[in-house]
Amino acid sequence: MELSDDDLIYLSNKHRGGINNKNGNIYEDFYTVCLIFRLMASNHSADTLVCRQKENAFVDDLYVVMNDKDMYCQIKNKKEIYWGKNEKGNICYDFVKQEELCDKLGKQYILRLVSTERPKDEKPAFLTHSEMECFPFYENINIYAYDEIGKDVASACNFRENEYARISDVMTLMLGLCCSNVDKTLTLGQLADDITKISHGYYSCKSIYRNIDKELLDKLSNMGFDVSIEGETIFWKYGKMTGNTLVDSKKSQVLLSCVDVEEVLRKL
Amino acid sequence: MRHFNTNNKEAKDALDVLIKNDVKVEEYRNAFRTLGLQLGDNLKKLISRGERILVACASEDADWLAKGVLEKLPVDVGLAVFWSDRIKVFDNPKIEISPIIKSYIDINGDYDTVVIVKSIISTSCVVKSQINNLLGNVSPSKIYVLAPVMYKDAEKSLRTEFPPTISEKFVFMSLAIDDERDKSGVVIPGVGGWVYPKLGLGDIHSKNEYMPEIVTKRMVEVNMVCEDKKK
Repeated sequence: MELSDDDLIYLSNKHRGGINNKNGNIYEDFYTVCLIFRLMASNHSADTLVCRQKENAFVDDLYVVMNDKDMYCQIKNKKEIYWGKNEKGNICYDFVKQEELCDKLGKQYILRLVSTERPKDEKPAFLTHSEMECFPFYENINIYAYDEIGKDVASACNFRENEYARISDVMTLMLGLCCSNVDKTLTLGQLADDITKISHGYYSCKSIYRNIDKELLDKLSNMGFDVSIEGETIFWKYGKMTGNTLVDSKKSQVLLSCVDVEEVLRKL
Repeated sequence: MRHFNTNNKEAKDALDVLIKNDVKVEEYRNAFRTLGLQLGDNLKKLISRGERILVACASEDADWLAKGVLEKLPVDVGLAVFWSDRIKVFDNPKIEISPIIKSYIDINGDYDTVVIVKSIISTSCVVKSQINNLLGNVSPSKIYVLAPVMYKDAEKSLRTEFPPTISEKFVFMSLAIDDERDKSGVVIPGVGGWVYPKLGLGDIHSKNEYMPEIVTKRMVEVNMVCEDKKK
């Protein structure tokens, strides 16, 4: 889709405003921290990109590039929000335009409106790739350790769910990373490395894997393999066979092209 | 500017000792014990008979301040001691954490009351970590936060760190409130700056090698009980 001059001016202003509003927008920071841990907890690849302000996008507060799809988030900490009509300035307009843009790109995507409250009006039915998430706003990041998100953090870092002190610390570290990298695009792998570095090795996000394609893991699981991951190695079990295989991107492609279990077992 | 929450002369004198320029290690330690006794006295009035109490403190506060508090409480009070590091992660926004690197905790069932004892509460970073840690192990109905000196905003700041279901359990007790900080953020007059060197425990790193006597004593008692059981 070609963007009109009018659209480009609109997006340029939106982007500039977005960057200015990032500083001190603690609700956006908290949501970003929580989403990063959710992604880590659900075993998204280390290559997953997280960008705090997407250029040339109508839904632009947070942009995540996953292996299988892109996610665009608009984050609003307002008491009353409305999807509104499809007119410039309304949330609905931005989501319609973004869906049009994404459709042209041809990649799977999801658009998400994030707010403390549900919108006062219904989501327009023509927004087919858009969803809404209610995310609470607390005064302090420590409180999230006691919320549902604390469980994701625990899972991402191999903590127990009641290790509130460690959960809080690692969330605080991630908040620091997010606040100091507002204008950068980072990968989950970089963020995990930085957590280890800035905490002097006290903390690390352990369950995140590198270079191992989620598609490959899904394929192996669907074929009946039991798989677990440590670093870049897959520990696998199939019937009475077990093994551990270092999987780089080349090996991943080889395994993905296998047509049956027998071939996978040979290539592993 | 300092606002006193006590008229007790002994307590006020002890607070003065803490901010003396040439204070000796023994004097400094004894002043904290005196302040612990005073806080313990105040706390004792609020404790019911049979209440199961856990007193928690940082390793550097254990042998003097916390010991003073413990002397005023029943003998079967549980003890939790934390050794923490402090890592300043970013300056802007100011973000720091106090990871707990080791701990001693008497967990004998649950406790009705947790008593956090701290020499001074300023940013509340250390106390927050200690409460977070304990709430993973116990579910008290009351959490007392005791400190000889607190910074004016410390109570509000600590309350906002927790969900209301937890912060409503907090009861703060201090002997003095200070409302100033120096350029590096240290509360003045506070407790005369950093407590570790004045207590004779070295710097922020070497203080974590100190094993408080009250911990050693409890560990020996536990071992003796185990030995007795073996016999």
